[in-house]
Amino acid sequence: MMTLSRRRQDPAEVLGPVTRTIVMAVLLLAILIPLLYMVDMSLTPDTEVSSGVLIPSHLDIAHYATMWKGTGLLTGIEHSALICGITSILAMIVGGTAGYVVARLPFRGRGILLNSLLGFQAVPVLMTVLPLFMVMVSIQNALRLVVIGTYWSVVIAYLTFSLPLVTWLVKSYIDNLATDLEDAARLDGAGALTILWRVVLPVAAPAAVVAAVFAFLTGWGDLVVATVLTGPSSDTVAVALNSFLQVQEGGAVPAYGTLMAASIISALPVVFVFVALQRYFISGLVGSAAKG
Amino acid sequence: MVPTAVVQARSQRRAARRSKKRRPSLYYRDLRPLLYLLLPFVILLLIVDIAPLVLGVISSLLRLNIKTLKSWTSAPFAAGTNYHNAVAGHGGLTLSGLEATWQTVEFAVLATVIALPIGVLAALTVSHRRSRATTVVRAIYILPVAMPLFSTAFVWRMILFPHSGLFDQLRGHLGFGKSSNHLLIGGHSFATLVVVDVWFAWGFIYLFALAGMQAIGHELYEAAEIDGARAWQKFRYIVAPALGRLMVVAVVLSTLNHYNNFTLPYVLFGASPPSSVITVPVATYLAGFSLFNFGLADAVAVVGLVGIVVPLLIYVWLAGGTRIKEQRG
Repeated sequence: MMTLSRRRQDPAEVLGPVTRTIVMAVLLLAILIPLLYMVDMSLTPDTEVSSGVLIPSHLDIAHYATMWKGTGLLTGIEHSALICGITSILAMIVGGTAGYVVARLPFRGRGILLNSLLGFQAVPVLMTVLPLFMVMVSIQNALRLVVIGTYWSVVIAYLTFSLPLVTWLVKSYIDNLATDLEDAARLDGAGALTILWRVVLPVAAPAAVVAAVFAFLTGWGDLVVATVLTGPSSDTVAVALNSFLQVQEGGAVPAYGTLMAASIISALPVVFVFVALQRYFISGLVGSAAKG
Repeated sequence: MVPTAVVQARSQRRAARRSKKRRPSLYYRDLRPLLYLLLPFVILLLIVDIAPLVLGVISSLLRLNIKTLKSWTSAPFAAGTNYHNAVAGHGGLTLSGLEATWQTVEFAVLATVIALPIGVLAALTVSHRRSRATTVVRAIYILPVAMPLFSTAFVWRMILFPHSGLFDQLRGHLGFGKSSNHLLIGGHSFATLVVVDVWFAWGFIYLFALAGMQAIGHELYEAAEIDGARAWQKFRYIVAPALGRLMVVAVVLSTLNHYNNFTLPYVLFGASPPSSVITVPVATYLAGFSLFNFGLADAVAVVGLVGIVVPLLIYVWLAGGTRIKEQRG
């Protein structure tokens, strides 16, 4: 009788209800406390932040108004959007088509290319950025051009990881796609480019877009490449906020509230996009990992 | 106790493998013109990845400082000086390249080992129930890993800041004494780095684990239930086998991510971090842009590659592969 009166547990629930609740509660607290503190600080007057007040005397929304100018947030967001936008579009076009070819066609050196695509994703970014910096300095010197500090210098550097990433994600998406449609088009006498443009593109476009979005997000979160290669006219949001922090820490009353407000604003769109698209990203990575 | 479930799981996996093999391969002569599409890709890859890597290795053998950098093609050959300095920790380095490498390996492995059970446990709490509440919990679970790393580092610097930070304030309120100066400088900074890293990095493992768990058929759990399986047995005989390979990839990938993480140590501990948190990327950056010895920086980076050779090879071996060839053979 006792078992009947209790709600039957779903057999797929491996954890018991008590364990499940405890684990969930601990995790949620661990996640939410720092995030709420972030929001709390962004609404606390700076003088109270630096004296360690946890509950502000009044909610101060002024940070959200002042942050746009003093921190370089606005120009940072503009620069980041432009740089990451160009990077991901380039990676999507070049890497997307390559991803299709690599997935469908056998050619000599295919195995090496695939393995190096994986390798390039894992190579520390400074390994490529230092030489790029070196080459750009000498181009600057020889041709009397300004290279470092332009958008393009950062775009080139971001392509070192986003090009292999996009190619790999598109490739593993195409891998899991049946060839039926392409076969049918081929029987109808369609040429190679027609098949690519009319048949493959409409099906694979979402995957390419998602891959490009993740290339965008990776660039948005980067600090080291941007620190090396940007100048005042191309500082990304990460660089702008980091130098703001370093300046503030020397001051008497550091504008931590402003920093927190700016961090929240620069994180919000990225977090939103990531949460919305994570399923596609993971299925891309998992698709490549689970096969074999 | 649960042979039915085990057998079912095995046959499910075998069937999946078989259906993959039966997929028709596409090898059409008339598609060969598409190979020209690889040309721009390969050229770009050459410019952004291959050439810089080769150049990096070459320049690790040159005497490259702020003066010789502008005409690096005629920079003096330094033979093994940079490597000697990188390994021995001379030439102004705070830490020898080997120490930095070892420390980074410790950090990457420790962070992954701690994040793994958290990620898997988290996935278990939400894997098989679909309700509005779980949807919200799932979204919250990935907030830390979705945040840009610099934001995460800012918040944690605020939290751990001596006196004014949340950590010290709570300590004070709970009566544990007030200050903990050693979190961001000195003794405990390595532990701080690991803890903050785990705070966001378990989400990566969690996403992989959740994807793996959702691919498990419900009938396996039902069979296990009928056989009277307990929680641990369900995990051991149903969940673990289904996750196996996926978790290996997740673990290797997240180890590599930790190893190459520059932003977290650099922002969390400021521009001149204590030596116990100087990881390979930070050491490379400092050699390049605070000592302005670019040859040395490249040498440090090359020495640091030693630490990722093994995980990198495992990753390429597991995730890589030449599918078309496999099917033809």
